[in-house]
Amino acid sequence: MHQFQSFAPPQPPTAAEYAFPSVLQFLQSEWRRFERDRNEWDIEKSEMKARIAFLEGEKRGVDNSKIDLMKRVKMLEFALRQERSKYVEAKDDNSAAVPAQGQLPLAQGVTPSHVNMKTQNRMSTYGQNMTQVSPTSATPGLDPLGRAKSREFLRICLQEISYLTASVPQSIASAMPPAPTRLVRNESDRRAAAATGGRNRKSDYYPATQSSSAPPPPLNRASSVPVSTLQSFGKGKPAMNSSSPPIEDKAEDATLRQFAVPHHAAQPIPNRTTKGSEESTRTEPIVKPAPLITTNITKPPTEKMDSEKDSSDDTDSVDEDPVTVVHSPLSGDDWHAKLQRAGQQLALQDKPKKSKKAEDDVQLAKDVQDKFNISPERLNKMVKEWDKTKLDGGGCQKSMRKKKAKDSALLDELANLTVNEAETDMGTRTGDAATDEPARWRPKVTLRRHMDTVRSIAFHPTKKAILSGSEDGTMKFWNLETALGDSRKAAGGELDPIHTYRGHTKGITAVALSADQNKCFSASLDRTIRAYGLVPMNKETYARLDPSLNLSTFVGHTDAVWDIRLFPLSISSSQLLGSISADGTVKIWDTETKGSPLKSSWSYHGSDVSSATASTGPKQGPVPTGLAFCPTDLKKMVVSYSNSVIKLFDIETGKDILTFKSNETYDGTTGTQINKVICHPTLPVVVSGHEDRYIRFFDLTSGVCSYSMLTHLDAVSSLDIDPAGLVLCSGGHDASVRLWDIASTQRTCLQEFTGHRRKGNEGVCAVQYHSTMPELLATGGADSLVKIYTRS
Amino acid sequence: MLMEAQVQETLKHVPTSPTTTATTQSDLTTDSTGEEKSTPSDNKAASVSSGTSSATGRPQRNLPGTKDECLYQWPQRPLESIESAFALREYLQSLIRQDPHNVDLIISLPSGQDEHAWLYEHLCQICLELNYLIVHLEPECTPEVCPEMRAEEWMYYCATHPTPRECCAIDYLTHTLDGASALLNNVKFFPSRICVPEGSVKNFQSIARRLYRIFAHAYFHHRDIFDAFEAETSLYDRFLKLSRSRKLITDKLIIIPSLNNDDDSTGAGARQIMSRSRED
Repeated sequence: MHQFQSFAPPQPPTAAEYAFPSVLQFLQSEWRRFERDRNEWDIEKSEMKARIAFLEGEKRGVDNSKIDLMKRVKMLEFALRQERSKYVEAKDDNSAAVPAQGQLPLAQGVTPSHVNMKTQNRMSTYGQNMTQVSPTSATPGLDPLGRAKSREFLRICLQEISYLTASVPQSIASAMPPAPTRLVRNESDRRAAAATGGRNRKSDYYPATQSSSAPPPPLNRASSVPVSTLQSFGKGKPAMNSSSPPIEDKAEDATLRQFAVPHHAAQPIPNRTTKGSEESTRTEPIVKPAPLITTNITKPPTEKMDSEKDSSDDTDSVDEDPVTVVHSPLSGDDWHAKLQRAGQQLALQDKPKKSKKAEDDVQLAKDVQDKFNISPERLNKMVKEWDKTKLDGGGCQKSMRKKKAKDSALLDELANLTVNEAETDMGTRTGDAATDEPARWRPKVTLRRHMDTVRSIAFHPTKKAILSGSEDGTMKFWNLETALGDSRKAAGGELDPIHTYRGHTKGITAVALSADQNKCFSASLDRTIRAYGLVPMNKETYARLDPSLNLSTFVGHTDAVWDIRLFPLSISSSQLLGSISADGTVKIWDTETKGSPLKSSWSYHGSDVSSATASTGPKQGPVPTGLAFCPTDLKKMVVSYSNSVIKLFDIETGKDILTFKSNETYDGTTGTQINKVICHPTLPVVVSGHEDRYIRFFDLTSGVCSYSMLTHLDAVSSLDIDPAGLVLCSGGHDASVRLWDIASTQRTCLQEFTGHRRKGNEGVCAVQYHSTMPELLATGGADSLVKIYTRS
Repeated sequence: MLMEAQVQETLKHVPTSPTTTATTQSDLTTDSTGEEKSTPSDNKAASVSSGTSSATGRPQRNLPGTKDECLYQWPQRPLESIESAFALREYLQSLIRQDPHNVDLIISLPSGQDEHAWLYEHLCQICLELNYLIVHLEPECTPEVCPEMRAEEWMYYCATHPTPRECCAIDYLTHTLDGASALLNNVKFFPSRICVPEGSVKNFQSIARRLYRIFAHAYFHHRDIFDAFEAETSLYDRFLKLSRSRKLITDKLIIIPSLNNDDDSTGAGARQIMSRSRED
């Protein structure tokens, strides 16, 4: 504006006469004007540079905080593991801890009413809950109830964590948006549900995730669509849910825009609030997830300023709007203020803007009031405080730091209001994550280098790498980093394994990978188990053979080894490996020991009576077909047998503790045997896959079958549960892979796809989730292929 | 009885049509779709029948827990009865399992089959079994013992690298085998198992030529292992007969003296040390 003014005055004199002095004067004035403009531009440029640097710094800070949070996550995980092992040490087998476990299946049952009750409970008595939860989680094992509660709490934490690690992208701008929208939607949904007299659980959850997944722009704009419509939409199209990549893309776009159009560069506020929350996180680490979400919730108010301009009378529009970067008048002011400080005239806020803002404020007040159910007085107070902050920042040119302090003060205030929201979210997260799963898995990479049926696969627990063992006698280690990163490359490219492990003289039946020990293991029909060193991720396919990779061979089984499992916990000096063999025995090996690796061995009846039955010949007895360690009770392991029986053994003593009632369809032949047995990662639940196409769920403590379902068109060959413990993936010899929602009582099939082509009456032979990257799933099949799936 | 009360037996409804998964299994598909509302006892009956996709009444696969002596214990099936995308391979593997030394039967082309597809399956199978030869060689054929890849008086450069390298013998063997496996599994060259594109047929020769060197090295430098392995599998015999009958290897490249003493003239001609790097 002022540029225009300065341009206008010199014009008239030049038009009057063209005398030399006047021309000179004109030229001089023009030159001066030009110089001034150039100065301004320079200043503006440096300002922009400063701003870019500032934003970059902020991004770095956010990244750091992400790393910080990840560390915390790891700490929590570690603490959980410690706690479990401590518990195992302390616990007597016959102690009264059984009731505690007996209670947990309730949580596993997750009936809709149960969940609803829980969430309501949380909402109403959050403060109470928190104080209860914190001490119990600090001192677990006091009483069964507290233990169950603390476990529940930790489980929720873990889910929270896995959600965050799954979708936390590079910048906070992209990480933050989904959560607030989800919360808000949840809330409105719940209200709607209450109004319509309650809905079933699904309708409660699907829309939540739909909004959380940052729906595509067209959907965003459909602001006036009633809640119920959206709900049915969400129900009908679960595939729309939880696509984190789009969020990232969008966010990245937004970030770019931020740099490109600095005048529109928006919302430094949310970023700062994050920092504020971090401070609060430090002060009370035990309630870590709560402050995190607090920041999410406090963000909408800052955004709403703008997003409501379009549709100021529809609350839902705001609820849904996951816009990460908008033109915010506030930050615009901020920007101008900074310019002025650098020697520029202050462009005062013009009146229309102000009135607009007032409108916005009223709308905002209504919204916030609606959402958080707070009294108008309280709201007014907050708004006042908020305005003050704004004025401080814009008018008085206070430093950023001061503003930050103000913001965090406001945050604290908001935190009081929003924690129960956060808690609610935690409660519903179990359901959310479950509905996150329906996102379709799509094949991303196919690994075709094996010459025969791929019998077993194992992901690297932290890296994008996978181990595959095949009937061709080789085990191959694949680096998926580039293939998963670049879609074009993955589509047409042929990925070579970075290493091929040879050593067995017959087909490989099972593989295992221990990242802590940097080792991998393979079991084979040739009766041996072999341990190899893990090759570095950057190894070339055709590098020199390193003889030191061949570490050791565990010899002891007298018949084909059919499965191996690593003990879930490993210490530097010890890593247990369990193996089962057609010779009828279960053996436990210590893979790190210097001496004899074989720790213990027992047959069908356990260690107690093994000597008695040995005379009759263990070869005649039932043969183990699968094994699994129990992550919820580290002293025990389950073994399935060819007579369709599952037994629970004590790892240390080999004592036969419990026989599961798992053989109801056993008909005396191997046609009804169990092919695979796994344990739920967080609940005392055992899942078995049967040759006669059943999948059954058992309670670990009682051995009672809690659910049984026919699942495939042919034998179930492989099972895995996703790291969050909500979805069961099963592979069958009908060549299909199916995903089951095990959090619901119906246990519906979420997705089904043809995994592999059949060869020799076999189809899919192995399914595996990545334990820390929930977006990765792999299958191995009779067609010699390994397929990697991603979710989108 | 408590258990019975809790068990709910339902055939789960699956969102997508089961026909996609059961193209090779039409009998099962019909079975299960008609079964959706059936009682547990019906399910049991159906489940038993589901396993009977073969004539023997039991699925022909090695279940977990199968003992050594029971592995692959199912009767030889005629090729026509194998309904699978891998029929040729299954048939070939069952022939080999039946009697690995009956080489003539194994390499003879089944009637009505594509010559090149059969050859392809054979080469795949040979690569597979060569893995085991290398496993046997590995303890003995170390970089110290065999620092160069030699076979009789020939020396070979490893062609799997961008520029051929003088890999030590064991590296050469593994690289060659990995390279051959990669080539055979490459969908660009071999997109189908039913027929082989004309342009890819020439790859058979280079693959065979390289695989031959693995045998040659074992024969000339690790004769004990070679003989033991040969006695067990007749792999070299199979490979040689296959290569000759299909003209994969020219006679002058055959440097291993005939094992059966019936024809010892081949391979005597070539007598100079050569660098065979990228002639393919």
